[in-house]
Amino acid sequence: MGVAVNSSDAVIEVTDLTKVYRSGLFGSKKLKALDGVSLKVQRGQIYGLLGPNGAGKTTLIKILLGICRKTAGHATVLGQPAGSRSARQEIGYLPENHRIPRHLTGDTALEYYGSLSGLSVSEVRKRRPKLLELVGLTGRGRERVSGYSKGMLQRLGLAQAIIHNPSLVVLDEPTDGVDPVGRKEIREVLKNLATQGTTIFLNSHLLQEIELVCENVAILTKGKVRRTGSVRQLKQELGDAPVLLQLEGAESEIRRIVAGLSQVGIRKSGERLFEVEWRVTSQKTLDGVIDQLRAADVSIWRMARRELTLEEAFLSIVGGQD
Amino acid sequence: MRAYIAILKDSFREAMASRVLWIALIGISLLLIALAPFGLLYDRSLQLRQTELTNYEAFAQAIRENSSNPSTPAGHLWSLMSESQRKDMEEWFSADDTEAAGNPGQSRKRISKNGMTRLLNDLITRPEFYNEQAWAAVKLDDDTKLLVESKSPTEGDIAFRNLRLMNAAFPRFVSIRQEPAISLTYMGTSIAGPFDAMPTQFSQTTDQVIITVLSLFLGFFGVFASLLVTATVIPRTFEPGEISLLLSKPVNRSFLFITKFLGGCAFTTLCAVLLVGGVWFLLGVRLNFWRHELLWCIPIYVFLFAIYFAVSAVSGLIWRNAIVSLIMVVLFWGVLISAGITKGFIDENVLKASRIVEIVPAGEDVFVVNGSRGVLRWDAGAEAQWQPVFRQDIQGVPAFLQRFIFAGRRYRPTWDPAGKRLLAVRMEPARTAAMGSSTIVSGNADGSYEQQIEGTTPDGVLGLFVDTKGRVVMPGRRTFYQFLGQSDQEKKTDQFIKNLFGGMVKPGAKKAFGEIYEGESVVWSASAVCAFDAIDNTIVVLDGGKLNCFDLRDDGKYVAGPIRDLESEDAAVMAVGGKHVVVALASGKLLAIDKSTLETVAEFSLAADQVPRVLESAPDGRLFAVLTHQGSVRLFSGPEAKFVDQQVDEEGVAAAIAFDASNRLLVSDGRESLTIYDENLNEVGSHRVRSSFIYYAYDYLVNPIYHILPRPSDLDNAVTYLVTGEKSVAIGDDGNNNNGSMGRENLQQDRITFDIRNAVISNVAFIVVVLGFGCLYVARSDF
Repeated sequence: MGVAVNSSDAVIEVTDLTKVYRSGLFGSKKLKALDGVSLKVQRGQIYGLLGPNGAGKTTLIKILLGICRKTAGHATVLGQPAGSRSARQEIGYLPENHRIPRHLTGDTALEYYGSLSGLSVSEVRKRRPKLLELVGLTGRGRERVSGYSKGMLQRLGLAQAIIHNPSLVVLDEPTDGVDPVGRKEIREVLKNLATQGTTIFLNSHLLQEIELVCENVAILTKGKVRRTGSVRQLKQELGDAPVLLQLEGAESEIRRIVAGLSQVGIRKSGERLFEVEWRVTSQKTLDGVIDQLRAADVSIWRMARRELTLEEAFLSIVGGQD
Repeated sequence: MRAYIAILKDSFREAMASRVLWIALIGISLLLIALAPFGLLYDRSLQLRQTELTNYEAFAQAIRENSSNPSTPAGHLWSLMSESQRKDMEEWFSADDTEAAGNPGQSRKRISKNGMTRLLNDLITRPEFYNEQAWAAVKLDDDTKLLVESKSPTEGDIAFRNLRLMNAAFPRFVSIRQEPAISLTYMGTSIAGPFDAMPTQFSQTTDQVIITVLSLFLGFFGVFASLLVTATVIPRTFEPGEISLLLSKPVNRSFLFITKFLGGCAFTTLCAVLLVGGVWFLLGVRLNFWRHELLWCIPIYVFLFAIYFAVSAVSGLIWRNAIVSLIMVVLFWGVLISAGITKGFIDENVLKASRIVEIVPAGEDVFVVNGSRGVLRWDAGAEAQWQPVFRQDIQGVPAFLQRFIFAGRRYRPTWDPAGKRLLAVRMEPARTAAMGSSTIVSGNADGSYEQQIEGTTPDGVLGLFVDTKGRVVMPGRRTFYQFLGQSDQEKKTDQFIKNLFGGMVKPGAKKAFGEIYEGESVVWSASAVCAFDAIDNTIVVLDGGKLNCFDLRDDGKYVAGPIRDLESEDAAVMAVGGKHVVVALASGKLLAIDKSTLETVAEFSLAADQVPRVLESAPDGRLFAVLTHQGSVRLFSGPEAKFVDQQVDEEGVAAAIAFDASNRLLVSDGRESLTIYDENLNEVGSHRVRSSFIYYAYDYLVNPIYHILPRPSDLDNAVTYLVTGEKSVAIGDDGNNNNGSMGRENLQQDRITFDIRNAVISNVAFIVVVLGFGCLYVARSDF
C-alpha cells in the first residue's frame, strides 16, 4: 500500500471510496466503478494514476472534483471535503477531451475560465502573456480556438488549469495530441510547478510520461488500488534487473552452458552470434557462467545490466491481478 | 458573482459570434431603414372629417326642412346639391305607409354618416358655397370674414373658408376642430392622405400597427429564430468535455444552469433591443410620437421567449440534444394550443352561449336571455330547468354565430303585465349605415310565448318600456312613440285581404305607432342611452354627455324637463328610479344624480379594471345595481343616497342583474342559475340548474389544466395594454358605431378583459417550476 505520510501534508486523502453507477429503469442496473479505494497524495508531489481502461481513474478524479458524487467512503482535497467549492477554488483541472467553446479566442478563453476561477479580468490580463509563453502559445492568443490544433488546445487547456495558481493541478492525459517537443515542454512546466509547491495529480496512458515526471504512482484496476508507491519501489518489486550478454561462439556450446540456468532467454542474432538475457540471482553464479563460456572458447562481446521499466512493473502488477 | 457574470458575458459573446444573429440584426436594420423615410405631414384641414359631424341626421333634416328657403344656410346648401343628392335625401325622409302601419320587412335607402360627409365635402369645394344673403344672419369671426373678402382665393382657401362658414352656420351639427389634417409621406413625398382622422385617432391606428409589427417580428419570428439558435446552448454546455471543465470551477451547479439559461436570452434581448428601440426612436424622431412605454416591450418579449426557452433548456439538459429540445418545445406549444382551443371552445360554445346575460322578471314567472340571445322561461316542475320560448329565426345567421353577431346589442325583452306578454325589439344583423327602424315582436302566455311580429317602428328606438298606464312606450331617435298595435281581428282582416289579392293589394294603413312627444324636435345619436322610471314614467336620455329628462303630462304626452351637461362624452349606462338617476361612465365613474335638480348627490369610482355593463334600479328607486363586464355588482342605496359596500354571493362572476316588481334583486351566477335577494341582500329564493357533465369536465379538468399551463399568448395583451392603455377590448360588431363621437363605445358590447396580472403570474410560475426542476436535475446528476 501507499507510503505512510503525515495526514496534515496530504493534499488528497481518499479512504474506502466507493462509487456505484446506476442505470436502467429505476436504477436497477448497477456498476461498481470504485471499490474501496484508499490513497494519499502529499503536497508538492507529482503523482501518477495508472490503470487500464475502465479501471475507474476518471471516476476517481471526478469525485475529487465534485463532478460525480461518491457512493460511500471518504475523500478530502486540500483538507476540504472533495468537491466542495472551497476545494475547487484551489484546484486546476484539465479534463481528457476537453471542449473549449469554439467562439472564444485563446485570450477570451483564459478570461472566461480565469473569471470562473474567481480572478478579475484585469488580473487575468496581467497573467495571460506569461502564461501563454509558458505553454508555448505566444502570439496565438487572438486566434479563435476553432482554428487551434489538438496540441494547441491541450496547451491552452493546461494554461486555463494553472491560471489561478492552484495548489493542486489535476491533469487527465495532458500530453494527448502534443508533439514530442511539446511534451518535453509540458513536462518542464509540471516540474517547475512542483518545485513551486504545487501538487500535480496526473492520469495518463503514456507510462513513459509518468515515469519521466512522477515520483509516486497508484495503480488502479477494476475499481481497486493494486499498488501505490514510488516508481523506483514498484520497479524494485520486480526483482533483479536482467543481464544482457552478446556472445560469439559455437551454438552447441552456448546452449549447453545456459541450459542449466533459470529465467534465461536466448536468441540468434547472426552467424555464430547470440543474445542471452538472464535474470541473475547471484554474482557467484554469473562469474561461474562467464568462466564456462570462456573455457568453451565463446567470446563475450558485450555484457550489460538492463534497467526495468515502469511499463514492465505495471504489466506485471496488472497481469498478476488478471 | 464574478463567475456568473463571466458566463453571462460569454453568452453575449456567443450570441455575437452567431451568424443567425447578424442576419437577424441586419434584417431588422433594413426594416428600420425602410421605415425611416415615413413621416407625417400636418397641414390645415380642408375637408370635413366624420368625427366633426356631430349630428348628421339632424343636419340632413335641417337641410331638407329648409329646402324651400334658399336665403338660409341650410336652404342654400340644398340649392347647391345635385338632383341625385336631393333624391337620396328625400328618400330618407319619405314616410312609408307600410312602415307607418307597422308592417315588417320593408326597407328603404338611408343616408349614412359616411355618405353625408361625402356630400358636405363635395359642397365645401364649391366657390359658390358662400352666399351673402344666406349667411347674412350668421355671425362670422374676423378670420372667416377675411377669407370671405379674399379677392383671389385658391382652391384650398375656398375649402378652408367654406369649412369655417359651415361651422359658424351649423354649430349644432358640426364641430370643426383645430387639429390639422394628416398625410403620410415617404421621403418627403405625400403618399396617402389627408386622412379622415384626428391626430388622436391616427395615434390609435399607429398603436395598432406597432402592436402588429412587434407581435409578428418579435413575438413570432423573433422567438422562433431565437429558439433555433439557442436550442444548442444547454446541450453543448452539458457535453462531457465542457461540463467537466465548468464543474471543476468553484461555481454552484444550479446557478450555472440558471445563468446559462439567462445567457440564452441574450439573443432575443439583442434583437428586441434593436427592433423595439429602433421603432421607438423612429416614432419619436420621424412622427414625434415619443412612446416610452414601448420600451417595456423589450422585457415582455424576452419573457415570452423565456417561457419556451425554459422548456428547451430543461429538455436539452436531460437529453443533451438540440433537436430533441426543439421537438419538446414544439410539443409543448402544441399542448398549450390544444388546452387553449379546448377551453376557448367550451367557453364560447357552451359556457358563454348558455349563461344568463339578461333577466326579465314577469310577475310569478322569470324569463332570461342566454348568451346565444335565446329567451328561456323557468320551468319549476320536476326538471327545474329553463325552457326555450319566444324563439326567433334569424335567417342567414347560424345559432352559434348569433352571440358574436349581436355582441354589441343588448337584447332584453320587456314584460307587459297588462297584456301578459313579452315585447322586444327584434334582433337583426348589423346595418352598416345608420341605425334604422326596428321591428317589434311579442309573445304571450296563451300562445306559449311564440314570437309574433307586431310592427316596424318609423325610426330606431332607444328602449321599450311599459308605463304605469299599461302603455308601451318607446323613446325613438327623433321622438317618443306609443305602440298602438293591432287587435287580433285587425291582423286577421289584413291577412285575409293580402291572401285574397295575392299580395297585390296592401291592407289599409293604420298607424301602429303614435307620437307621444311634444316640444322642440330632437335627434338622438345612435350612442344615446335611455332609462325609464317605472313609478312616475319619467324618461331620461343621455346623449353626448347631456342628461335630458322628459316628464309625462296628464294628457299622455312627454315634454322636455331639466337638462344637465355631465361634461363627459364617455359611453355610459344609466337607470332612473325614485329620486335618483344613476349613471355609470365607461371610465368607471359612478354618479348618483338627484332626478329633480340633476345635481350630483354621490360619486363612486369602480376599481381600475372594472368597466360597467348594466345598470338597473328597483321600481321603488330604493336600490340601484351596477353590473360590470368583470362580474362585479356595486349597489347604490336611494334612501341613504350613497354607494354601499354590500356584496352579492356572485361577486366577480355575475353576468346579469334585474329587479322584479317586488323590488327584489335577481343576480345570475355567470352560468345558468340565479339567486333572488331582498333589499337587504338576504337570499330569498333561487332558480338553480343542475350542472351537466360538460361543466364538471370544464371545472375539474379543462380549466385547471389551462391555468396550470402558462399562457404566453396573453403577453400580447400586455403589449396592447402597454401601448394603448386599454385593459379590455370590445368584441364583435357593436351595431352602433356610427355615433360620430370620438372615444365613445358601446358598454353593452361583450368585452374581452386582459388578465395581464394573472397571465404574468402564471407564466412566471411556469418558468420557476420548470427551471426549478432543471436545477434539481443538475444538482443531483453525475456528469
